[in-house]
Amino acid sequence: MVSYFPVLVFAALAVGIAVAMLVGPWLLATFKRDKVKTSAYECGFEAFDTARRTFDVRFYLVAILFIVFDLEVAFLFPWAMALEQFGWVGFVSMMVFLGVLTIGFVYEWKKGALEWE
Amino acid sequence: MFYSITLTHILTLSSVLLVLGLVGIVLNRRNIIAILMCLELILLSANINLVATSHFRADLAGHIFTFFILTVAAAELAIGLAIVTLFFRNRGDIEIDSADRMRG
Amino acid sequence: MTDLTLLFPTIFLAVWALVLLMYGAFGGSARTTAAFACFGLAMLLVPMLTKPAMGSAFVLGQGALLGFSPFTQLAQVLLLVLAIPVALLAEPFFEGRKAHRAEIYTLMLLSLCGMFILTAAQDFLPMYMGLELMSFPLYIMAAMLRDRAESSEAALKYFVLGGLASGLLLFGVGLVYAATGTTQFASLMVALGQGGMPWPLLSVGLALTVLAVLFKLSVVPFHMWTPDVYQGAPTPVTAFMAALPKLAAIVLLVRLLEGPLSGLQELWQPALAVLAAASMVVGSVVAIRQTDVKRLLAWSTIANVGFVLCGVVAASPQGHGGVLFYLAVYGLTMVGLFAVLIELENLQEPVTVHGLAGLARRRPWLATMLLMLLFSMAGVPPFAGFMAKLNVFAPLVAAGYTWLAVVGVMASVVAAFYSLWLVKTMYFDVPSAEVAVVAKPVQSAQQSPLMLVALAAVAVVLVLGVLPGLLSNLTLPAATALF
Repeated sequence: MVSYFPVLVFAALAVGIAVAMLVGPWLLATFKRDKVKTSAYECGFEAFDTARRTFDVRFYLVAILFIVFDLEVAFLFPWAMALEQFGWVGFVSMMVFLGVLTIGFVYEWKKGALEWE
Repeated sequence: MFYSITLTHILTLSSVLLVLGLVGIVLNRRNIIAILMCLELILLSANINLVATSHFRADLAGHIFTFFILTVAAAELAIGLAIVTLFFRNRGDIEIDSADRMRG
Repeated sequence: MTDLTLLFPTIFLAVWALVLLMYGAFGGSARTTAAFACFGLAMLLVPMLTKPAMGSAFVLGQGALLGFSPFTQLAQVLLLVLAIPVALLAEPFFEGRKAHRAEIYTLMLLSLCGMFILTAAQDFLPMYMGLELMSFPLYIMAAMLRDRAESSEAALKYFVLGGLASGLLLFGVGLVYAATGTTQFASLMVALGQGGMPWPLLSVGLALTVLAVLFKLSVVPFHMWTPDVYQGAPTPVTAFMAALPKLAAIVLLVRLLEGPLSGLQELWQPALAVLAAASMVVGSVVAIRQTDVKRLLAWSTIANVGFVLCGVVAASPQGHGGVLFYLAVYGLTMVGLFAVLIELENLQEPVTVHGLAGLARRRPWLATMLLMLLFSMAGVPPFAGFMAKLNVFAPLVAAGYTWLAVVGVMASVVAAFYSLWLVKTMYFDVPSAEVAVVAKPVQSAQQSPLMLVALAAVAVVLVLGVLPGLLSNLTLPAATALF
């Protein structure tokens, strides 16, 4: 087995590098503002408004709902690959899991979280 | 030497990420969203630990753990964003320094 | 295939939570949802008391994911018993306030489900899942008062620091896994016994893991979030946070320290002793200069967790029994105190230390209940708080930690000082002019479960103070069978 003792040294290095990365630019870099650099970047367009404008809060709501349902799908891929070995137990477990997700979906539907207006 | 990446190297990488996340939370004085990103970075560093160990030890437990962390992190982030949205509605900004209603 | 009857209470809580969620979404009123929630919790007590499930669920290799023992069983029953009065507090508080009133019960039940998993965890995976399932609903519940900035600020602070703690927990688990190749408590115990592990990796990993649990317990120096969260969160949610997660987290801590980490006792025992002393002293001393009553109770919680840790430091069945006894009594006292506080808030009384001045004259009944509960908190005999403190200090002395017991007794004296000071304010101080105007003149006669809960808490605290055997005859045998 590999000796893990150097990890202690590496941990010190880790702190050092991380701090250096954060402090370094602060000490070394020069900040020169010019108009192009500070303007909002939009591909092809001239920037027509500041990028710092707050978005409509409804975008956040949709994003939040999306994150949850998007990542739960991560369970489906390994499950699909190994379903033959799981048999019915695996199948029923996943159906229960999806059922719980569906309840969440029904809830947000009933609560009107999916309506834009 | 450069071609033999061992567990130690990866653990070092994850430690760097962890410290970056921690320092980011401590030093950041402006935006709460940045704090959420730092939290995700910390979870990511933990995931790297688990996946790397899982690979080098040929043991599946770490892989499974990582799947759970990924999905739980998604739920965590959703809750975090929802709370930040609520905070914004109540206060009109998401500056860290405006979270100062309670003292003592 | 694992025996699902072992998991019945946990699954029941999850299913019941979802049923309540759907009931609320399809037009059920908050009031009936509350009734269904309490009904479900009370029904669950029946199988848990009559058919206690023992054994391991999800056996894999050397260990299992979950392990049920008399200790976890009793802890879960106590959690249920505490959850019912807390659930009763929610509706009287949220009625008429801007909040999703029906959802709070789903969140409470899910949090409770997480606590059940946490108490039974025998592997880092269910430990992590339980911890998060316990915490996420707490974050949401803290933000429940949608139009109050303090509420969302409290939730935000709780979320960020809680997320940080669980991130460190995971990093620690990753290090332990890298060092030993296992996430199971049982295999970890074997690996630690054999020795030859890369110690730096392992020690950092285990320390981070324990740290995350100490954070949930709000032990000094991981207590920074507690006062803000307690003050900002809606009062019934504060009651929930004060009474339940502490119990679940300490059960996990005990089973972690006495299980896989039992070989390292000479390392964690002195460390925990120092943290316990720090919690007791800091919590008691800082509480003195608080003006907000909820904030004061938060610091008092920090001190109480210090007292509880004394029982863990003792590392004996008597100590662990004392821990359960203490947390049951403390949780119930807290629930009673918060019930009175909610009633005061509903009567538009200011819940600050100065606002309580002259309360005994305005509302003699509330003041009397507050008095008894505060006496119990301060550890004045013949109330249960006294027996609770005795039950953790005696094993501590037996374990040779006399200095810690001495520190504890001194901290209790300080804690008694602020409790008595509150009592003095209520009974002998003259209210300021504005308080006398603001407070409604007559006691509203609405039939509210608040008084029922507060009365029950007072009654139990009195009965257990005189007859502590009623509870300690349960906790002590349970503590001899941790696994």
